[in-house]
Amino acid sequence: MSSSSGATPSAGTFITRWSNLTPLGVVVTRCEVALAAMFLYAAYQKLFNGDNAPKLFSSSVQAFKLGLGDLATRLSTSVTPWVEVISSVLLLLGVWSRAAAAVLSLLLIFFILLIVQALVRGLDVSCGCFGELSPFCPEKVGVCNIIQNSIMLAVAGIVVLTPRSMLARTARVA
Amino acid sequence: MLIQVGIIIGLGFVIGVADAFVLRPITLGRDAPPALDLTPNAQAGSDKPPAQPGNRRTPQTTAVVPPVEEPMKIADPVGTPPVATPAAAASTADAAFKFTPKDTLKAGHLTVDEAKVLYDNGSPFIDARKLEVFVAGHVLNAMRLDMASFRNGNPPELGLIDRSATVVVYCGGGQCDESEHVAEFMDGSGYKKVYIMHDGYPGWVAAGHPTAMGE
Repeated sequence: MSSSSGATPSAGTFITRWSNLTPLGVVVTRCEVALAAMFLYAAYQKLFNGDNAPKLFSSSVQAFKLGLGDLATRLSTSVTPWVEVISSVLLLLGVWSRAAAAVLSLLLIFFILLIVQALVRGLDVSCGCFGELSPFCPEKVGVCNIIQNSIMLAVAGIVVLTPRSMLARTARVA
Repeated sequence: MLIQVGIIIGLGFVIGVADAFVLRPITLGRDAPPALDLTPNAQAGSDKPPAQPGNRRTPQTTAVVPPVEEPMKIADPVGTPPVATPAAAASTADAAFKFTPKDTLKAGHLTVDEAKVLYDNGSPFIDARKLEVFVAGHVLNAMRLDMASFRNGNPPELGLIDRSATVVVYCGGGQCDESEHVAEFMDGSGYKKVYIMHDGYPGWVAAGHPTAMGE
């Protein structure tokens, strides 16, 4: 985020951040929006797309056979999408952007490891990445999902690693 | 930034816990259905006429299998389905398939032979796999209901099955979980006698039992 003008650094707002970006700032901001949109969509599918959406997501996670009990499964499948929601909203608002992207990066690394272990064990499961839907890859989990998550991880990495001072022309971007 | 990361995760945890256990509590898993006695002796007392593989089944009553009130209206394939005859079944049975021994199955799971007894008695069969694999081949007269069918509550097709019926659900066998989850959803809808055909469709095919293609 940036102030619209002046040399005094300030947090700025969602509106003003767009008016004062360097080319790199434009790239990073677009990465933030894309990342937030993807995770908001994924979280919506897991939490609110249908009366049984939470249970469907829990079932998808159980298929990965991690040995979690019902309680731990329910807890993890509820906390994860809410963390996605909070991080995405913060990214869109431009508040704690790097921290939010770091959280999403951690989630993506976890998802990639989850998929890799499923492939190594020969499990024939659906990804569950976007709830029951799989808009970018075949429904059954596979290398495509690893590539998809790796691309998202790279995008999140750009947000985390880019110094905020390089994003705005006249003021520090928080 | 670490503190901010911690706050984000902590906030997600609090909201997630509240959602999972207060706002929208759900239960996972189900109680095992009552044990079935499907041994030949148990079946001998029934007045069950011989099974007619390959034909539409009619509901029949036995001492151990509750009747199904009406035949399932199922996704019969359009046109003539490739139905296995007894002779063809014998010839197509896959000797290489490793059927799961009964004593290794957990409660609520059936061997293919046990499922076939229920099939011959008119028990509804539910295919929990996705449409594309269902179209490629399924148990003759099976109804397709996958997990996604339950997204917005009970699918209308479920109304065709009596809640007291003994129902068999199957998926791709082996490590597939779809049948377990469909059984879980059905259990939550009041179907307390839902059993899993453990070896799934591959086991059914390997045993040479009747199948069909298409929707």
